[in-house]
Amino acid sequence: MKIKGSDKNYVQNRRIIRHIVQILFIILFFSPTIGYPSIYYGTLISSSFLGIELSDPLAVLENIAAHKHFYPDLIISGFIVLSFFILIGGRFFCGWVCPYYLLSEIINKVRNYFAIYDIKISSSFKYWFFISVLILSFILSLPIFEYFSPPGILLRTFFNGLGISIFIIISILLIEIFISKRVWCKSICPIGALYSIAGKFSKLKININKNICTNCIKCHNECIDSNMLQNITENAKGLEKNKIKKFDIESVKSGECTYCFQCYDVCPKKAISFGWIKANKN
Amino acid sequence: MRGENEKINQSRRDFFRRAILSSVSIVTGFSLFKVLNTKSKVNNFVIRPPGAVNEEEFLSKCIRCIKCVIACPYEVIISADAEDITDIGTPYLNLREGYCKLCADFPCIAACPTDALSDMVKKPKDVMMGTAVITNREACLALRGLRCEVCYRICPFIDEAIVIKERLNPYTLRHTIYEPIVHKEICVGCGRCEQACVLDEAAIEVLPLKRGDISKHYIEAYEI
Repeated sequence: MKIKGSDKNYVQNRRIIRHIVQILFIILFFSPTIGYPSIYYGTLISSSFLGIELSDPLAVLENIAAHKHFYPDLIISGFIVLSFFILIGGRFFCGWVCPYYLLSEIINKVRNYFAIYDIKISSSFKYWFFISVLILSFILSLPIFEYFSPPGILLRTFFNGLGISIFIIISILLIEIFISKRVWCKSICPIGALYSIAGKFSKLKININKNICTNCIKCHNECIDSNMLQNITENAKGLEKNKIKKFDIESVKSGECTYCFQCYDVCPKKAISFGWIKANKN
Repeated sequence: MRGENEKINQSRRDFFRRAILSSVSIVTGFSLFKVLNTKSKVNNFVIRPPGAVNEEEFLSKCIRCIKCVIACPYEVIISADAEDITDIGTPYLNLREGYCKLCADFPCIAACPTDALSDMVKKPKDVMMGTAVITNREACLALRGLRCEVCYRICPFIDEAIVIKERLNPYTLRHTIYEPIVHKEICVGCGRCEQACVLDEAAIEVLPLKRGDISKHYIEAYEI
Protein backbone atom coordinates (compact mmCIF):
# COMPACT_ATOMS: atom_id res chain seq x y z
CA MET A 1 0.00 0.00 0.00
CA LYS A 2 1.33 3.38 -0.99
CA ILE A 3 1.34 5.76 1.88
CA LYS A 4 1.34 9.43 1.15
CA GLY A 5 4.23 11.23 2.71
CA SER A 6 6.64 8.32 2.66
CA ASP A 7 7.15 7.76 -1.04
CA LYS A 8 10.28 8.41 -3.03
CA ASN A 9 9.03 11.78 -4.24
CA TYR A 10 9.66 13.10 -0.78
CA VAL A 11 12.87 15.03 -1.33
CA GLN A 12 13.77 17.24 1.58
CA ASN A 13 15.02 20.19 -0.40
CA ARG A 14 12.09 22.58 -0.13
CA ARG A 15 14.13 24.99 1.96
CA ILE A 16 16.66 25.46 -0.84
CA ILE A 17 13.88 26.01 -3.39
CA ARG A 18 12.31 28.58 -1.10
CA HIS A 19 15.56 30.46 -0.55
CA ILE A 20 16.10 30.54 -4.32
CA VAL A 21 12.60 32.01 -4.76
CA GLN A 22 13.27 34.59 -2.04
CA ILE A 23 16.51 35.64 -3.73
CA LEU A 24 14.82 35.71 -7.15
CA PHE A 25 12.27 38.11 -5.74
CA ILE A 26 15.04 40.37 -4.44
CA ILE A 27 16.63 40.31 -7.91
CA LEU A 28 13.21 41.15 -9.36
CA PHE A 29 12.97 44.18 -7.08
CA PHE A 30 16.44 45.22 -8.20
CA SER A 31 15.68 44.76 -11.91
CA PRO A 32 14.58 48.33 -12.67
CA THR A 33 17.98 49.64 -11.54
CA ILE A 34 19.71 47.45 -14.12
CA GLY A 35 17.68 48.66 -17.08
CA TYR A 36 14.86 51.05 -17.65
CA PRO A 37 11.70 49.70 -15.97
CA SER A 38 9.82 47.55 -18.43
CA ILE A 39 8.54 44.23 -17.06
CA TYR A 40 8.57 44.91 -13.35
CA TYR A 41 9.11 47.93 -11.23
CA GLY A 42 8.04 48.98 -7.80
CA THR A 43 8.40 47.80 -4.25
CA LEU A 44 6.47 45.42 -2.04
CA ILE A 45 4.09 48.23 -1.16
CA SER A 46 3.05 48.78 -4.75
CA SER A 47 4.42 47.62 -8.06
CA SER A 48 3.67 47.11 -11.72
CA PHE A 49 4.15 43.67 -13.24
CA LEU A 50 3.55 43.43 -17.00
CA GLY A 51 1.37 46.50 -16.74
CA ILE A 52 -0.76 45.05 -13.95
CA GLU A 53 -0.86 47.16 -10.81
CA LEU A 54 -0.20 45.19 -7.63
CA SER A 55 -0.46 46.66 -4.15
CA ASP A 56 0.09 45.51 -0.62
CA PRO A 57 -3.44 44.97 0.80
CA LEU A 58 -2.42 46.50 4.13
CA ALA A 59 -1.22 49.66 2.39
CA VAL A 60 -4.56 49.82 0.58
CA LEU A 61 -6.46 49.53 3.88
CA GLU A 62 -4.23 52.18 5.43
CA ASN A 63 -4.79 54.45 2.45
CA ILE A 64 -8.56 54.04 2.80
CA ALA A 65 -8.33 54.73 6.54
CA ALA A 66 -6.03 57.72 6.17
CA HIS A 67 -7.54 59.27 3.07
CA LYS A 68 -11.16 58.40 3.99
CA HIS A 69 -11.95 57.99 0.35
CA PHE A 70 -12.19 55.00 -2.01
CA TYR A 71 -9.81 55.01 -4.92
CA PRO A 72 -10.98 52.09 -7.12
CA ASP A 73 -7.72 51.44 -9.03
CA LEU A 74 -5.80 50.99 -5.78
CA ILE A 75 -8.47 48.77 -4.23
CA ILE A 76 -8.51 46.52 -7.30
CA SER A 77 -4.71 46.27 -7.29
CA GLY A 78 -4.74 45.26 -3.62
CA PHE A 79 -7.57 42.82 -4.18
CA ILE A 80 -5.63 41.03 -6.94
CA VAL A 81 -2.74 40.36 -4.55
CA LEU A 82 -5.01 39.35 -1.67
CA SER A 83 -7.06 36.95 -3.77
CA PHE A 84 -3.89 35.41 -5.22
CA PHE A 85 -2.58 34.70 -1.73
CA ILE A 86 -5.97 33.38 -0.58
CA LEU A 87 -5.78 30.99 -3.53
CA ILE A 88 -2.34 29.56 -2.75
CA GLY A 89 -2.38 29.98 1.04
CA GLY A 90 -2.28 33.16 3.09
CA ARG A 91 1.20 33.60 4.47
CA PHE A 92 2.98 32.28 1.38
CA PHE A 93 3.84 35.95 1.04
CA CYS A 94 5.80 35.91 4.30
CA GLY A 95 7.75 32.74 3.67
CA TRP A 96 8.49 33.15 -0.02
CA VAL A 97 8.43 36.85 -0.91
CA CYS A 98 9.15 39.11 2.06
CA PRO A 99 12.85 40.06 2.24
CA TYR A 100 12.62 40.68 5.97
CA TYR A 101 11.62 37.06 6.55
CA LEU A 102 14.87 35.92 4.91
CA LEU A 103 16.85 38.31 7.09
CA SER A 104 15.03 37.08 10.17
CA GLU A 105 15.80 33.47 9.27
CA ILE A 106 19.50 34.22 8.92
CA ILE A 107 19.47 36.06 12.25
CA ASN A 108 17.65 33.17 13.89
CA LYS A 109 20.69 30.96 13.18
CA VAL A 110 22.83 33.35 15.23
CA ARG A 111 20.30 33.51 18.02
CA ASN A 112 21.37 30.19 19.55
CA TYR A 113 24.65 31.76 20.72
CA PHE A 114 23.34 35.09 21.94
CA ALA A 115 19.88 34.50 23.35
CA ILE A 116 19.57 35.87 26.88
CA TYR A 117 15.81 36.10 27.19
CA ASP A 118 13.03 34.13 25.66
CA ILE A 119 9.92 36.19 26.07
CA LYS A 120 6.97 34.60 24.36
CA ILE A 121 4.29 36.88 22.98
CA SER A 122 1.10 35.29 21.76
CA SER A 123 0.79 35.20 18.00
CA SER A 124 -2.69 36.70 18.28
CA PHE A 125 -1.11 39.98 19.42
CA LYS A 126 -0.52 40.91 15.80
CA TYR A 127 -4.27 41.15 15.13
CA TRP A 128 -4.55 43.83 17.81
CA PHE A 129 -1.56 45.58 16.32
CA PHE A 130 -3.18 45.33 12.89
CA ILE A 131 -6.38 46.91 14.17
CA SER A 132 -4.51 49.62 16.06
CA VAL A 133 -2.48 50.47 12.93
CA LEU A 134 -5.72 51.02 11.02
CA ILE A 135 -7.25 53.08 13.84
CA LEU A 136 -4.09 55.19 14.16
CA SER A 137 -4.05 55.72 10.39
CA PHE A 138 -7.64 56.89 10.61
CA ILE A 139 -6.96 59.29 13.48
CA LEU A 140 -3.68 60.73 12.23
CA SER A 141 -4.63 60.67 8.53
CA LEU A 142 -1.26 59.09 7.80
CA PRO A 143 -0.50 55.55 6.62
CA ILE A 144 1.32 55.00 9.90
CA PHE A 145 2.69 51.50 9.34
CA GLU A 146 4.57 52.55 6.19
CA TYR A 147 6.87 54.63 8.39
CA PHE A 148 8.44 51.57 9.98
CA SER A 149 7.40 48.60 7.88
CA PRO A 150 10.54 46.41 7.59
CA PRO A 151 9.95 45.21 3.99
CA GLY A 152 9.19 48.80 3.00
CA ILE A 153 12.36 50.12 4.65
CA LEU A 154 14.47 47.31 3.17
CA LEU A 155 13.23 47.96 -0.35
CA ARG A 156 13.63 51.71 0.00
CA THR A 157 17.17 51.05 1.20
CA PHE A 158 17.81 49.00 -1.94
CA PHE A 159 17.03 52.04 -4.07
CA ASN A 160 18.21 54.91 -1.88
CA GLY A 161 21.19 53.52 -0.03
CA LEU A 162 21.60 53.32 3.71
CA GLY A 163 19.84 55.85 5.85
CA ILE A 164 18.80 56.30 9.44
CA SER A 165 15.65 54.25 8.90
CA ILE A 166 17.79 51.10 8.78
CA PHE A 167 18.00 51.47 12.57
CA ILE A 168 14.40 50.23 12.70
CA ILE A 169 15.53 47.00 11.06
CA ILE A 170 18.58 46.80 13.32
CA SER A 171 16.53 47.29 16.47
CA ILE A 172 13.99 44.65 15.48
CA LEU A 173 16.81 42.26 14.66
CA LEU A 174 18.50 42.97 18.02
CA ILE A 175 15.23 42.24 19.79
CA GLU A 176 14.90 39.04 17.81
CA ILE A 177 18.45 37.96 18.70
CA PHE A 178 18.50 38.80 22.39
CA ILE A 179 14.99 38.99 23.70
CA SER A 180 12.33 37.13 21.82
CA LYS A 181 12.60 34.55 19.06
CA ARG A 182 11.30 35.81 15.69
CA VAL A 183 8.89 38.09 17.48
CA TRP A 184 8.24 40.44 14.57
CA CYS A 185 7.05 37.85 12.05
CA LYS A 186 5.32 35.73 14.67
CA SER A 187 3.38 38.23 16.71
CA ILE A 188 3.71 41.84 15.57
CA CYS A 189 3.75 42.27 11.80
CA PRO A 190 0.31 43.54 10.65
CA ILE A 191 1.03 42.45 7.08
CA GLY A 192 1.37 38.92 8.46
CA ALA A 193 -1.87 39.43 10.40
CA LEU A 194 -3.74 40.34 7.24
CA TYR A 195 -2.36 37.35 5.37
CA SER A 196 -3.12 35.12 8.36
CA ILE A 197 -6.75 36.14 8.12
CA ALA A 198 -6.58 35.46 4.39
CA GLY A 199 -4.96 32.08 5.09
CA LYS A 200 -7.99 30.91 7.05
CA PHE A 201 -9.93 30.86 3.77
CA SER A 202 -7.27 29.10 1.75
CA LYS A 203 -7.55 25.40 0.93
CA LEU A 204 -3.90 24.45 0.42
CA LYS A 205 -2.40 23.34 3.71
CA ILE A 206 0.45 21.48 5.33
CA ASN A 207 -0.86 18.01 6.19
CA ILE A 208 0.54 15.73 8.88
CA ASN A 209 0.08 11.98 8.77
CA LYS A 210 -0.67 11.19 12.40
CA ASN A 211 -0.12 7.47 11.91
CA ILE A 212 3.50 8.01 10.92
CA CYS A 213 4.34 10.96 13.15
CA THR A 214 6.11 9.96 16.38
CA ASN A 215 5.80 13.36 18.10
CA CYS A 216 9.58 13.83 18.09
CA ILE A 217 8.94 17.61 18.06
CA LYS A 218 11.84 18.30 15.68
CA CYS A 219 9.44 20.35 13.58
CA HIS A 220 8.41 22.42 16.60
CA ASN A 221 11.87 23.94 16.86
CA GLU A 222 11.81 24.98 13.22
CA CYS A 223 8.29 26.36 13.22
CA ILE A 224 7.62 30.06 13.64
CA ASP A 225 4.69 29.34 15.96
CA SER A 226 4.84 25.76 17.20
CA ASN A 227 1.36 25.88 18.76
CA MET A 228 -0.26 25.01 15.46
CA LEU A 229 1.86 21.84 15.14
CA GLN A 230 1.55 20.89 18.79
CA ASN A 231 -2.21 20.43 18.61
CA ILE A 232 -1.70 17.82 15.91
CA THR A 233 1.47 16.01 16.90
CA GLU A 234 0.47 15.41 20.51
CA ASN A 235 -2.22 13.02 19.25
CA ALA A 236 0.26 11.22 16.96
CA LYS A 237 0.30 7.44 16.99
CA GLY A 238 3.72 6.72 15.51
CA LEU A 239 2.87 3.28 14.19
CA GLU A 240 5.34 0.90 12.54
CA LYS A 241 5.30 1.00 8.77
CA ASN A 242 3.78 -2.44 8.27
CA LYS A 243 0.99 -1.76 10.74
CA ILE A 244 -0.34 1.29 8.96
CA LYS A 245 -3.63 0.37 7.38
CA LYS A 246 -5.31 3.72 6.71
CA PHE A 247 -4.57 7.38 6.47
CA ASP A 248 -5.08 9.62 9.42
CA ILE A 249 -4.08 12.95 8.03
CA GLU A 250 -4.76 16.23 9.72
CA SER A 251 -4.22 19.66 8.21
CA VAL A 252 -2.56 22.62 9.87
CA LYS A 253 -5.69 24.72 9.75
CA SER A 254 -4.23 27.77 11.42
CA GLY A 255 -3.63 30.74 9.14
CA GLU A 256 -0.35 31.38 10.93
CA CYS A 257 1.56 28.87 8.77
CA THR A 258 4.05 30.67 6.51
CA TYR A 259 4.57 27.64 4.27
CA CYS A 260 8.30 27.74 4.96
CA PHE A 261 8.48 23.91 4.64
CA GLN A 262 11.04 23.68 7.44
CA CYS A 263 8.92 20.98 9.09
CA TYR A 264 8.75 19.15 5.78
CA ASP A 265 12.53 19.18 5.47
CA VAL A 266 13.30 18.27 9.04
CA CYS A 267 10.82 15.42 9.56
CA PRO A 268 12.74 12.15 10.06
CA LYS A 269 9.67 10.00 9.34
CA LYS A 270 8.59 11.97 6.27
CA ALA A 271 5.11 12.35 7.66
CA ILE A 272 4.39 15.80 6.28
CA SER A 273 2.85 16.62 2.93
CA PHE A 274 1.53 19.70 1.21
CA GLY A 275 -1.84 19.61 -0.47
CA TRP A 276 -5.58 20.09 -0.35
CA ILE A 277 -7.06 20.59 3.10
CA LYS A 278 -8.24 17.39 4.83
CA ALA A 279 -11.59 17.46 6.55
CA ASN A 280 -11.48 16.73 10.24
CA LYS A 281 -13.18 13.43 10.98
CA ASN A 282 -14.05 14.24 14.60
CA MET B 1 35.70 28.56 46.27
CA ARG B 2 33.69 27.10 43.50
CA GLY B 3 30.52 28.67 44.84
CA GLU B 4 32.15 32.09 44.84
CA ASN B 5 33.18 31.66 41.21
CA GLU B 6 29.62 30.73 40.41
CA LYS B 7 28.43 33.86 42.17
CA ILE B 8 30.86 36.06 40.23
CA ASN B 9 29.83 34.40 37.00
CA GLN B 10 26.22 34.92 37.89
CA SER B 11 26.70 38.63 38.59
CA ARG B 12 28.75 38.98 35.41
CA ARG B 13 25.98 37.30 33.45
CA ASP B 14 23.44 39.64 35.00
CA PHE B 15 25.59 42.62 34.09
CA PHE B 16 25.84 41.53 30.48
CA ARG B 17 22.13 40.89 30.36
CA ARG B 18 21.37 44.35 31.62
CA ALA B 19 23.92 45.95 29.31
CA ILE B 20 22.52 44.19 26.26
CA LEU B 21 18.94 44.87 27.25
CA SER B 22 19.60 48.57 27.79
CA SER B 23 21.53 48.96 24.54
CA VAL B 24 18.76 47.21 22.62
CA SER B 25 16.19 49.50 24.16
CA ILE B 26 18.31 52.58 23.42
CA VAL B 27 18.62 51.62 19.74
CA THR B 28 14.90 50.88 19.55
CA GLY B 29 13.93 54.12 21.24
CA PHE B 30 16.29 56.16 19.10
CA SER B 31 15.02 54.72 15.85
CA LEU B 32 11.37 55.01 16.84
CA PHE B 33 11.92 58.63 17.88
CA LYS B 34 13.69 59.42 14.62
CA VAL B 35 10.98 57.87 12.51
CA LEU B 36 7.88 58.97 14.36
CA ASN B 37 9.05 62.52 15.05
CA THR B 38 7.22 63.83 12.01
CA LYS B 39 4.96 66.51 13.43
CA SER B 40 7.71 69.09 13.43
CA LYS B 41 8.33 68.53 9.76
CA VAL B 42 4.83 69.16 8.46
CA ASN B 43 5.26 72.91 8.00
CA ASN B 44 8.60 72.61 6.24
CA PHE B 45 8.33 73.21 2.55
CA VAL B 46 9.52 70.51 0.23
CA ILE B 47 9.14 70.26 -3.52
CA ARG B 48 6.91 67.31 -4.29
CA PRO B 49 6.86 65.60 -7.70
CA PRO B 50 4.57 67.00 -10.42
CA GLY B 51 0.87 66.65 -9.77
CA ALA B 52 1.23 66.51 -6.00
CA VAL B 53 -1.85 67.69 -4.18
CA ASN B 54 -1.50 69.96 -1.13
CA GLU B 55 0.90 68.79 1.55
CA GLU B 56 -1.47 67.40 4.18
CA GLU B 57 -3.60 65.58 1.64
CA PHE B 58 -0.45 64.29 -0.05
CA LEU B 59 0.86 62.78 3.19
CA SER B 60 -2.41 60.94 3.76
CA LYS B 61 -2.66 59.68 0.19
CA CYS B 62 0.96 58.68 -0.42
CA ILE B 63 1.64 55.06 0.54
CA ARG B 64 5.44 55.46 0.38
CA CYS B 65 5.87 52.88 -2.36
CA ILE B 66 8.56 55.02 -4.11
CA LYS B 67 7.29 53.94 -7.53
CA CYS B 68 7.64 57.52 -8.72
CA VAL B 69 11.28 57.47 -7.59
CA ILE B 70 11.91 54.35 -9.65
CA ALA B 71 9.87 55.61 -12.60
CA CYS B 72 11.71 58.94 -12.87
CA PRO B 73 14.07 58.51 -15.86
CA TYR B 74 16.42 61.28 -14.70
CA GLU B 75 16.58 60.20 -11.05
CA VAL B 76 15.56 63.64 -9.89
CA ILE B 77 12.89 62.45 -7.47
CA ILE B 78 14.41 61.05 -4.29
CA SER B 79 12.69 59.44 -1.36
CA ALA B 80 13.19 60.90 2.08
CA ASP B 81 14.87 59.07 4.91
CA ALA B 82 14.29 59.61 8.59
CA GLU B 83 16.76 62.48 8.97
CA ASP B 84 15.59 64.34 5.88
CA ILE B 85 13.40 67.41 5.80
CA THR B 86 10.20 65.51 5.24
CA ASP B 87 8.39 62.32 6.24
CA ILE B 88 10.20 59.03 5.81
CA GLY B 89 9.59 57.37 2.46
CA THR B 90 7.85 60.28 0.77
CA PRO B 91 9.21 61.50 -2.56
CA TYR B 92 10.67 64.97 -3.03
CA LEU B 93 12.98 66.87 -5.34
CA ASN B 94 16.29 68.38 -4.37
CA LEU B 95 16.38 71.18 -6.88
CA ARG B 96 19.98 72.19 -6.34
CA GLU B 97 21.03 68.66 -7.35
CA GLY B 98 18.78 68.37 -10.37
CA TYR B 99 15.61 69.80 -11.79
CA CYS B 100 12.31 68.41 -13.01
CA LYS B 101 12.52 67.96 -16.79
CA LEU B 102 8.71 68.09 -17.10
CA CYS B 103 8.52 64.95 -19.26
CA ALA B 104 5.63 65.07 -21.72
CA ASP B 105 4.15 61.78 -20.49
CA PHE B 106 4.84 62.31 -16.76
CA PRO B 107 6.08 58.79 -15.84
CA CYS B 108 5.92 59.68 -12.13
CA ILE B 109 2.21 60.49 -12.30
CA ALA B 110 1.55 57.39 -14.40
CA ALA B 111 3.39 55.27 -11.82
CA CYS B 112 1.50 56.56 -8.79
CA PRO B 113 -0.94 53.89 -7.59
CA THR B 114 -2.97 56.35 -5.53
CA ASP B 115 -3.94 59.83 -6.65
CA ALA B 116 -1.31 61.45 -4.45
CA LEU B 117 0.19 62.57 -7.75
CA SER B 118 -3.00 63.67 -9.40
CA ASP B 119 -3.54 62.73 -13.03
CA MET B 120 -5.37 66.01 -13.53
CA VAL B 121 -1.99 67.24 -14.70
CA LYS B 122 -1.92 66.66 -18.44
CA LYS B 123 0.63 69.11 -19.82
CA PRO B 124 3.74 70.76 -18.34
CA LYS B 125 1.92 74.05 -17.73
CA ASP B 126 -0.55 72.32 -15.34
CA VAL B 127 2.23 71.47 -12.89
CA MET B 128 2.30 73.51 -9.67
CA MET B 129 5.28 72.43 -7.61
CA GLY B 130 6.14 75.91 -6.43
CA THR B 131 7.33 79.15 -7.88
CA ALA B 132 10.75 80.64 -8.50
CA VAL B 133 11.64 83.74 -6.53
CA ILE B 134 14.82 85.82 -6.63
CA THR B 135 15.57 85.48 -2.95
CA ASN B 136 19.03 87.03 -2.92
CA ARG B 137 18.66 90.29 -4.80
CA GLU B 138 22.04 91.57 -3.59
CA ALA B 139 23.88 88.62 -5.11
CA CYS B 140 21.96 88.31 -8.36
CA LEU B 141 24.38 89.23 -11.16
CA ALA B 142 21.68 90.63 -13.42
CA LEU B 143 20.51 93.01 -10.71
CA ARG B 144 24.09 94.16 -10.17
CA GLY B 145 24.27 95.25 -13.77
CA LEU B 146 25.90 92.27 -15.41
CA ARG B 147 24.24 90.63 -18.39
CA CYS B 148 23.69 87.25 -16.79
CA GLU B 149 20.11 86.23 -17.67
CA VAL B 150 20.94 82.53 -17.28
CA CYS B 151 17.63 81.83 -15.53
CA TYR B 152 15.74 83.65 -18.27
CA ARG B 153 17.44 81.75 -21.09
CA ILE B 154 17.15 78.34 -19.45
CA CYS B 155 13.50 78.62 -18.42
CA PRO B 156 11.25 76.14 -20.28
CA PHE B 157 8.63 78.89 -20.49
CA ILE B 158 10.97 81.61 -21.71
CA ASP B 159 9.32 85.03 -21.99
CA GLU B 160 6.28 83.67 -20.16
CA ALA B 161 7.38 82.54 -16.71
CA ILE B 162 10.51 84.69 -16.59
CA VAL B 163 10.69 87.92 -18.54
CA ILE B 164 13.46 90.48 -18.74
CA LYS B 165 12.59 94.04 -17.81
CA GLU B 166 15.03 96.72 -18.80
CA ARG B 167 15.63 99.76 -16.65
CA LEU B 168 18.29 102.37 -16.18
CA ASN B 169 21.15 101.52 -13.87
CA PRO B 170 20.71 104.10 -11.08
CA TYR B 171 24.41 103.99 -10.14
CA THR B 172 25.96 104.81 -13.47
CA LEU B 173 22.96 106.48 -15.13
CA ARG B 174 24.34 105.28 -18.43
CA HIS B 175 23.94 101.50 -18.43
CA THR B 176 20.92 99.18 -18.39
CA ILE B 177 19.90 96.62 -15.81
CA TYR B 178 18.25 93.58 -17.40
CA GLU B 179 16.17 92.39 -14.48
CA PRO B 180 14.59 88.91 -14.60
CA ILE B 181 11.02 88.95 -13.34
CA VAL B 182 9.12 85.76 -12.47
CA HIS B 183 5.42 85.46 -13.22
CA LYS B 184 4.18 83.01 -10.64
CA GLU B 185 0.94 82.31 -12.51
CA ILE B 186 2.97 80.59 -15.22
CA CYS B 187 6.04 79.38 -13.33
CA VAL B 188 5.65 75.68 -12.43
CA GLY B 189 8.59 75.46 -10.03
CA CYS B 190 10.59 72.95 -12.04
CA GLY B 191 13.76 74.35 -10.48
CA ARG B 192 15.68 74.63 -13.73
CA CYS B 193 16.65 78.23 -12.93
CA GLU B 194 17.74 77.33 -9.39
CA GLN B 195 19.89 74.54 -10.72
CA ALA B 196 21.35 76.69 -13.49
CA CYS B 197 22.13 79.78 -11.37
CA VAL B 198 25.84 80.44 -11.72
CA LEU B 199 26.33 81.52 -8.11
CA ASP B 200 27.50 79.14 -5.39
CA GLU B 201 24.28 79.75 -3.48
CA ALA B 202 21.45 80.12 -5.96
CA ALA B 203 20.05 83.67 -5.99
CA ILE B 204 16.81 82.35 -7.50
CA GLU B 205 15.03 79.64 -5.54
CA VAL B 206 11.81 77.70 -5.76
CA LEU B 207 9.47 78.54 -2.90
CA PRO B 208 5.94 77.48 -1.94
CA LEU B 209 3.24 78.76 -4.17
CA LYS B 210 0.86 81.13 -2.44
CA ARG B 211 -2.00 82.22 -4.60
CA GLY B 212 -3.42 84.63 -2.05
CA ASP B 213 -6.04 87.21 -2.89
CA ILE B 214 -6.01 90.80 -1.73
CA SER B 215 -7.30 90.98 1.83
CA LYS B 216 -10.92 91.95 2.47
CA HIS B 217 -9.84 95.07 4.31
CA TYR B 218 -8.55 96.75 1.19
CA ILE B 219 -10.25 97.92 -1.94
CA GLU B 220 -8.66 99.06 -5.12
CA ALA B 221 -9.45 102.65 -5.78
CA TYR B 222 -9.90 102.23 -9.52
CA GLU B 223 -12.65 99.65 -8.96
CA ILE B 224 -14.99 102.08 -7.26
